[in-house]
Amino acid sequence: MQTLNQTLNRVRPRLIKNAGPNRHVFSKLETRKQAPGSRLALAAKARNDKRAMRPKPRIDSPAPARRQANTMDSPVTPPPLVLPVEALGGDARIEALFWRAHAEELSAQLARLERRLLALSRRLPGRWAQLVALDPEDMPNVATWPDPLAGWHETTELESAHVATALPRLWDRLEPDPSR
Amino acid sequence: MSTSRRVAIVVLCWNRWDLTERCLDSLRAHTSAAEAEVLVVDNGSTDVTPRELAKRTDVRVIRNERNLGFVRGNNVGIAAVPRDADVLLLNNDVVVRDDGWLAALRRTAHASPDVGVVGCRLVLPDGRLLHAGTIVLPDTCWGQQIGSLEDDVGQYAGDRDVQGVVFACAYLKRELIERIGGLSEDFESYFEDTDYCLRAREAGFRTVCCGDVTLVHDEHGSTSGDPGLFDALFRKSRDTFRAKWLARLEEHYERDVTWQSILNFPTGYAMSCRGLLRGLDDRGVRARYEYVYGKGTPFPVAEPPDSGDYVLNVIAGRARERRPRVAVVYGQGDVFRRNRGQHRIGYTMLEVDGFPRSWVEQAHALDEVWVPSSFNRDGFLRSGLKKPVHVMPLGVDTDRFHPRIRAHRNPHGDFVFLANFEWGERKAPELLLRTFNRTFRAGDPVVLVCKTINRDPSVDVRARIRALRLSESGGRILFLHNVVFPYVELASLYRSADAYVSVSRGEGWDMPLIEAMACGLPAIATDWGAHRDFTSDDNCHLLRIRGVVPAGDARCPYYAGFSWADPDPEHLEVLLRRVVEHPDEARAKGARAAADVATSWTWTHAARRIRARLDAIGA
Repeated sequence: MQTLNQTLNRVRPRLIKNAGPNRHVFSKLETRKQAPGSRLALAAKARNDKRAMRPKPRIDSPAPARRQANTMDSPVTPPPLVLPVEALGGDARIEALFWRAHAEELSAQLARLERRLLALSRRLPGRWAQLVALDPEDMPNVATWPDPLAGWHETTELESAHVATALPRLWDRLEPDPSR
Repeated sequence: MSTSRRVAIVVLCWNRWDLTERCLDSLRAHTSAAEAEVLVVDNGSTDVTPRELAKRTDVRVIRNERNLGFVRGNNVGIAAVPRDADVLLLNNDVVVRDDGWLAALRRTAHASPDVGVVGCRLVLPDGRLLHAGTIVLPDTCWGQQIGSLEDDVGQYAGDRDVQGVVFACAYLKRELIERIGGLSEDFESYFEDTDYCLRAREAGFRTVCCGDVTLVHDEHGSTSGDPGLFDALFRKSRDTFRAKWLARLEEHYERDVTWQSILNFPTGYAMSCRGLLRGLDDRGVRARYEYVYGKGTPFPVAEPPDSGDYVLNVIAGRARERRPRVAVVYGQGDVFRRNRGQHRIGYTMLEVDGFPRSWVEQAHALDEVWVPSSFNRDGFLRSGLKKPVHVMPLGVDTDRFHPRIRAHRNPHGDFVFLANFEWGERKAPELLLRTFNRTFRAGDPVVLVCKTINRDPSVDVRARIRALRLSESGGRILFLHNVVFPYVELASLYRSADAYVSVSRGEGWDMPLIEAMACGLPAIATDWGAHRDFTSDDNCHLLRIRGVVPAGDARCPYYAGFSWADPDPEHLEVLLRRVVEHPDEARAKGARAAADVATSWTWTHAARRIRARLDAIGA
């Protein structure tokens, strides 16, 4: 299955095109083209050749009980994984049909995810929209609580300033800085 | 009143076609032909002006064969205006930038039959305020433009009665012109405008500055290239003005008082002293200012001579009276003894529930004591004062602190609480920071901005804050520490917040609170202290107290033995949430606060009370 990052890489060009004011949010993502012969490339080719068949009912979906058990908090150990394709008996024609259906299903999922991300990025304020493009492991590094003492210079001297410049600097501190 | 009367705009020009063309183009862009006829009086220009004017079809041109000067040139224009139209005099170095400007001036002019002259706000091309009316004091006969060179944050909005306006833009109502005619030809240039406004006043007409209109003015555009010409014209006109008006200006003053206080330091007494002195001057009280501190006092520092303000410098420059009839010492009670008057008044305040014995002893040597609040009156009586005590409230400058001041809002949309205080036990900073941090979560769209000042080297504010161990997952707090803004910009700071919070343990007045309220901010304030005279459940969220406790700030010897409030942090939590979760209710309280302050708590109100007392004393 695709990781979130791979998914984002795929949808990045369209996100940048359609993201409007939040376009910069997606610009840091690395572009990785699909390797020729990869499953996604084959699926796209099959779709373009209009040789796709009506997908069969999904046979790789885990049962609801399994899905529940696969949550992060669950201590349950999953049973040994048997790929559905292995149950097809090695028939090349049926296997091709399987992969084609699987590719179409993935493509539909990606399209849904793309729409969801796009809608999310449009609804969120700019400073939160950039979180959409972050890797999950980078999320904890994003500071949403500006340290009130950051840059503090303890002094009894008074410094002249103007509201028109001091306040915008202050508001900038409310921006999460992914580099921190 | 009719607001449909036609207006003729008279633009006087003399050379500098670049300025005239810019002015006329701006008029065409922002004024419809149906609203006004534009009449250009060419005062004998010798450059391309006559040729260029001949090409324009949107103006009527009158050509004087020679330069008649500003006054006679304008009078030629006024005489050429149809008798059923009002006149608007406009300098050719002025630029109009907004639609509706003329309609607003006309509306102000016709708002009341006794309005005769209407001016407007003028700004320099760099955006600084240049003019919001003028004032001339008899001491100098120097016409001072109100608001001059202040950063423009939207101060002086709305209609205000003023002594005069500059005639770079002046709307003259027909009724006034019929009564007093055109500009006085005793003047060639300069002072003719103030002269005209004073003549209007003598004839029963008011002069109003319409703060809803702002025009751009390249000051002295037509004489800026020739400083010698400017000086000569100015001096001649000033001498003429002095001869004509000095005695009448002197008549403005009906009371005299010697005012012993502090003016040119950034202290609470000094800031409020400035408002009081300006207000008193406006109310016909000739104050003579003397610095009450210095050698031999608890504040043994000499005062810098310049207040940065024309009116205050004049008041401070007036000759001392050897034995003043009435003198007011406005400062801490331990300098009451320096009062030099025959009738001696001490005017003071304190943040706790009583007054030090030494203050009361010195007060007993006075004829009477003034305090700004009933809270302090009760404190003095509780401390055994036997002299008469009068409540003389302070005020706020609603020309500079009002809800239409320009803001620099947080673009991220978080709800912003603002607190503005000097770090110290009395302001209960620990209580505020802890409670705010506990009440909200970091992810909540709420932030507290604390503008703090600390000038005490024995206090390490950073260490104090760190010791609070504020939670990173709690409400977000930002600081503007030891940053000083120009006074006029404080209003902009308040307007940039959504609510104001003052959890003080005691107040002698709480000027930041009333300034924030004047700006229309919903406020949370402790239900104890002098500010209770101007706060109520209708205009403020009053913070309950758990009781009164011994005042515990060792740095202030005046507090020893007295008590102050113990604000309730749990109720603060409730109020903080309430303000955020019921924004409509909060906004309504803010609007009510601004209205209450404007109608009852300005420096004009304060000065009126003092004037009435001085009348009673016979100052």
